[in-house]
Amino acid sequence: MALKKYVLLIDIKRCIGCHTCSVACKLGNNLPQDVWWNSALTYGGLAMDTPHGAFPNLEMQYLTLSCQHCDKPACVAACPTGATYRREDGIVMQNYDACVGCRLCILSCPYNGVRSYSENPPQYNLDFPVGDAFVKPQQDKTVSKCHFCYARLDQDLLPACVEVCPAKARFFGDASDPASEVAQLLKTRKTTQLLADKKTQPSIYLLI
Amino acid sequence: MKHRHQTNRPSIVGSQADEQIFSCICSGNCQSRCRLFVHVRDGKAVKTSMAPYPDARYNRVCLRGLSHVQRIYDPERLKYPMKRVGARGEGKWERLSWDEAIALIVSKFKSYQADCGPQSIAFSAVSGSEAYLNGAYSTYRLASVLGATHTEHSLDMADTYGLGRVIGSGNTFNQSNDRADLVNAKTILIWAANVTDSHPHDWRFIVDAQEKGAKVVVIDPRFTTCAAKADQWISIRPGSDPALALSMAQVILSEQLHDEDYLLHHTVGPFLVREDTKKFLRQSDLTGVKPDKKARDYIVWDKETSEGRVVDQVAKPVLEGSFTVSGIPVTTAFSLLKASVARYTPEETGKLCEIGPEIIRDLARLYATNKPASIYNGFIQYDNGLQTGHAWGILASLTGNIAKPGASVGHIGRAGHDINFAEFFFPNRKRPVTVPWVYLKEVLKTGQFYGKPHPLKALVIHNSNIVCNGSNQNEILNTIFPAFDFIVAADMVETDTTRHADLVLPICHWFEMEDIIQGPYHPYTCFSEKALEPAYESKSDMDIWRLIARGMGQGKYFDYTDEEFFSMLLNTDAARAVWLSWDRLKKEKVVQTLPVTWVNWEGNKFRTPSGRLEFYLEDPKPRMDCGVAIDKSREHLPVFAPPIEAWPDNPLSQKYPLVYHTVRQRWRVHSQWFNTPWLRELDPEPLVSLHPKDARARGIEEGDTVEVFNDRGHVVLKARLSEAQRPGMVSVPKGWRRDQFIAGSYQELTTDYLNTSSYNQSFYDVLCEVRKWR
Repeated sequence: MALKKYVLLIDIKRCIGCHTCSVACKLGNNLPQDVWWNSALTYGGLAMDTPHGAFPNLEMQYLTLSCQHCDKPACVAACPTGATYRREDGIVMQNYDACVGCRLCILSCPYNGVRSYSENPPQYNLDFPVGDAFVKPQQDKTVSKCHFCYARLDQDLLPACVEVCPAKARFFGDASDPASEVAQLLKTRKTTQLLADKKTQPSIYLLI
Repeated sequence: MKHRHQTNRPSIVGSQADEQIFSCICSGNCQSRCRLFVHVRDGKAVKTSMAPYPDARYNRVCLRGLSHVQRIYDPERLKYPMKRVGARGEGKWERLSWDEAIALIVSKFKSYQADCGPQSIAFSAVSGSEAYLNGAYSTYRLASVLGATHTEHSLDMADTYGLGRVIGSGNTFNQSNDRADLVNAKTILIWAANVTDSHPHDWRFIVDAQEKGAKVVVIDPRFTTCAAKADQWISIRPGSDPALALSMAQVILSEQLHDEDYLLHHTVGPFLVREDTKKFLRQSDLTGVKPDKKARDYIVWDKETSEGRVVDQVAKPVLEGSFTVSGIPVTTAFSLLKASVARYTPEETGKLCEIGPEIIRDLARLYATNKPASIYNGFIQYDNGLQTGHAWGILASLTGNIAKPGASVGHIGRAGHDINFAEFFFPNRKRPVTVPWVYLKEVLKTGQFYGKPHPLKALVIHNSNIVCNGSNQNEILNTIFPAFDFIVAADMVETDTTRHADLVLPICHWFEMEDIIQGPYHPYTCFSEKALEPAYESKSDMDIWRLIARGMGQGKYFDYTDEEFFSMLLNTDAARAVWLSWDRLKKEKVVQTLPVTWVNWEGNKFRTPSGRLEFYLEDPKPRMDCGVAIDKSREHLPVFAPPIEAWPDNPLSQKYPLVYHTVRQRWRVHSQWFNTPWLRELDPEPLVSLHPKDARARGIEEGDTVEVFNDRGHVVLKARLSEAQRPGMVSVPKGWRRDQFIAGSYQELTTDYLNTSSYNQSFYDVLCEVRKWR
């Protein structure tokens, strides 16, 4: 059987920047205070929900940003301990136990704001863990980031951010299966990728 | 596009060890009423997730539904009943047991009843929960058996009633088709709504239509998310909506784009309006014999015989013209409409709306010819909302863009028709006296309602945060509240309202009690399970009303378990017709009770007296009956009346040149979720949005602390400069608690102007000025 190749497709025309994906990620993965693995960015003005241009000639779009799960990940090449590694199915993983907090992954990654790191132990609003039971606890002095909800995939569930999208703008699946929805969309829709010129070959495609 | 809907699979139940899953409903007043799974481990809710409906197109959850764990375990949850010991609003409280709290309420109520009559106890609820047993409706029964006063919310009803009079939906939101039917539209006018933020689950149907080639036009002064997504954005002057709608009607008529056949057979267009009484000419006017009450003996002009005859007997009625029937001069309703909109030429109206005449012409042509067309409208929060709704009804009448797949207008509210409210609300068949919230001040001032003494002493507020969400906050706190001797507020958390009450009662979170709830944004009736034990000493709303009722000697009306009430609510022929019963609902949790992608008013059967679209109102009535007469001559057909305050002709605009607008954002539903930590990480503080030009003229930079003010009050917060903001207009987000602002509150500035036709709070009809704060 051919190897799986997981991809995430985000339809920019459908995305409304509602942050539901971000909150689903935060809840499902029991992320600490101020940690967001997936952000909804406004593509327009300088602040959230502000447009580009001058009234009334305006443009605004939204873009969700998380780990791009590159096929040639700069972070994996930079990681001195093997904590950051790429699975055969394309998921770029972060092993908290092996991470020494050197943050070379953050420095080498072309994308800003897709990882979190804190010197201090993670802080939570509630005194018990929320989200999925199988989530590994966060650690201090350790980098964390999106892992495509790999443990949910094992249970035949979609990544949390994909399941909840109110706009139906997110598509996840195996691009190596030509019958899959994502393979069909990649074939029929115009796509772009963030910072493709960095040649890290991201697994996230924007449908434009 | 079918695969799109299959993408979103719900979580598999029981996939994780030692986890219990409950089927619950997120019951707030975004009205989406989403089915969620509540995941419980070790007695704690650890997660909410999207739960499936039988038809996956309706599966939905949003950022608010996903943050319930932080609401359930909010450290600010009210833990036990508390009695005020300092001055109102001072924040000094004494803990009471439930027995003490109920005894206090009962002794107060009994003394007011004895001294001032049963109506002196008033109940106020809005929309904190839309569930049937414990939601906003839950005190109808208690108010009914106590003979108390019920206050009506006066919210979102101006355009609703304006359109409601035309289509016969009256004072309800039951107007549009199912939102899933929007995929069938070729034209969608999103008018005064930011769908993507306020109803994110409707957006999928709109963008599906757009992908199929539909043209989506957003009419909004501001460049919203929704405007950014549309094919066209039309920024009109705030409050000019009725002028735009009337001008569209003028274009449709002058370019003869109207649907004559539809007007003849499904509207009052051919009806003859008497010049003297302004009423429709009836057979009884001619014969003097009064037919039975419901007879539709309207007279139309028969083209073939050139005489006035009863509408049913005429194959070819005339749509236009003036005639004399038995000596009575008459004109068709259509001709009156045509004459009344003639002055709204695109050239003249364009000046009012501050848009070019061609934009109006193109918009009218699109709506009238690229059919089916739907108007997805928000709420018009200016004093002229009634006229706007009426004008939307005229647009639908002229084009037939209603009662068909893809053709629809108005709000959505098809729910409750299969529920036995009559028995649940009014067990002794007595309806409480209803006073609209906006009229309450008048009743307090005069001590009278409907010409009779109506003293008020106690106010019980539940499912509502009226101090935060009601207009003119200082007037509520300084005039309305002080007029009451005793104010009880029930809530989950401390709000602006509980902070100004005399007695505070802790209420369960939605997932700590059982309830039933229906759409309208999905076609299902749902049972919301009790997933958790009530936190601290909180009680369900109905349990509290049971205790009060027993104390007041009305216990027999409340000697029902929750399940017995559910059985009562579902005991109707309409429920049985769709196989809806309590036993089935309890077992299955979700029962489909409406068709998917349903079309409203099928067969063009409208609930008006004539059964047709009544774009001409022969006998316009005010929305609420407070015994106050209206000038009917102004309401047969709509005219553009400028907003009562927020309009440049108003001399006040010299002092306060900016229109003050309050925004419903994705982060909250009204004031709920106001302190949810995850959402506050994303949206940490309220910001007033100003156009850079307006900011610069006042020396204001991004991030400056500014005061937004008018004669009614002020709010102090930081400034956000945005080109999305229409110049001349500032926007402040709704729903923040007073202490989340640097000073004041967004709701201090809003007006409680009383319009005795629409009885509606006109939140946006407000002028203000902005200056740097200290």
